[in-house]
Amino acid sequence: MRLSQITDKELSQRLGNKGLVVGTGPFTFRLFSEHSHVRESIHRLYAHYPVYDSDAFAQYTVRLQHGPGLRRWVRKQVRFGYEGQFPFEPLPFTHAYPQLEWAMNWCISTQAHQYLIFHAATVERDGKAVIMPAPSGSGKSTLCAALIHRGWRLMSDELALISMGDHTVVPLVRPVSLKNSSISIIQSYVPEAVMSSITLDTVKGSVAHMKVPDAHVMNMSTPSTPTWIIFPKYAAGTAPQLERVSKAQTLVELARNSFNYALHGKTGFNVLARMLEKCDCYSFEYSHLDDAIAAFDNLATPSGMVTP
Amino acid sequence: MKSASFWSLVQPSRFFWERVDGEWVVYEEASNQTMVLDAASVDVLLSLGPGEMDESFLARQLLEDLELDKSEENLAFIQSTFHNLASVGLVIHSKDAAFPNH
Repeated sequence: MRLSQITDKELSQRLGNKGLVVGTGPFTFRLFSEHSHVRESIHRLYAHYPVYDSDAFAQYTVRLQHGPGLRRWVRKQVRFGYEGQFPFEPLPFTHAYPQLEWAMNWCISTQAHQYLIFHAATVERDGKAVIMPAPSGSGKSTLCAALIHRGWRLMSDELALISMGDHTVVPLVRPVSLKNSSISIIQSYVPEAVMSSITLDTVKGSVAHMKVPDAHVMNMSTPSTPTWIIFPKYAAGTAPQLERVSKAQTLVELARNSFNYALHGKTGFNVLARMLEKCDCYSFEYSHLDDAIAAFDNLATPSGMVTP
Repeated sequence: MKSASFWSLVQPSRFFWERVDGEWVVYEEASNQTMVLDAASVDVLLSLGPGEMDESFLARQLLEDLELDKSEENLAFIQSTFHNLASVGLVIHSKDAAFPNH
């Protein structure tokens, strides 16, 4: 059953009672929240995701609870509860939906150690994946949001999952997180994009989440082969520039961008080295999304010429 | 009297190596560091055993391995290699070692 098939009333009951069990890529979450805007955002952004009976097994349980003490009523707050713990500081009540997405990311990045996990966006075409590791503010999510509406399939926006066994990219298809000016950029570039409402004044500035095209959700169990590692950087006024980066330096950068490389130790090092044997590595500066998409399309075209 | 200089690997240390497109990448397990190293640095790490090694002996050996002459420029390069490795915490420098290997 897909989430769009349950009524708003039933969704509300599940979120408030035994939990909404929803599948996202290889993970199943049990979600609790009594916040109406969380329910509305889930309904809007997760419409095509599979939902299961409330008694079904879920790897992670995320509870969005009221703030402590008076914060339940006065200057209301929300806080993320996980197995009796509160990993984050309480946030203003209006930040509940981004809090939910961040909490889901936290569950995966701190516990899904069957994967090597990078802070990276990942898109795919013809079975070949581009991994885009980059810090916040580099334009990674903006580029990812544009690419997935121009022929590339979303594998992940925030967390790239690499299988420790066969080194494939495992999809983690979740709403794309857009911040500050990238929200209006994508609203203009992809007018048909479905977004959550914008949450103002979060620790990351203004935040909105973009719904993933339905076909990508339907295809969220299909892994892909890492083929390109691209470090994107938005730089206003620059012509698109794709430059080769050494694989050795890329290995070091990927290690830095990983949430659990340290935990995997020499196994993580070996996985990275084997994965990079089959990848071409680039840095990429861009200022216009059309140019960026043309450069990515060129890479994926068999006859595409890439100047080192 | 001029004191002798010695170099040794930081303990505990355990290195794993990958040659990636002609460049060396090393992972050091105890510190969990991953870094790209040049051939001279790799040679230093492979030459150093668990104990301390005399700097002048090590420098001679490196010059030989790298097929470099004993010019001041090359000796300065070897010195900078030692100090670069020390700055990232992979080797340590000591003087008048109590039990040098060489």
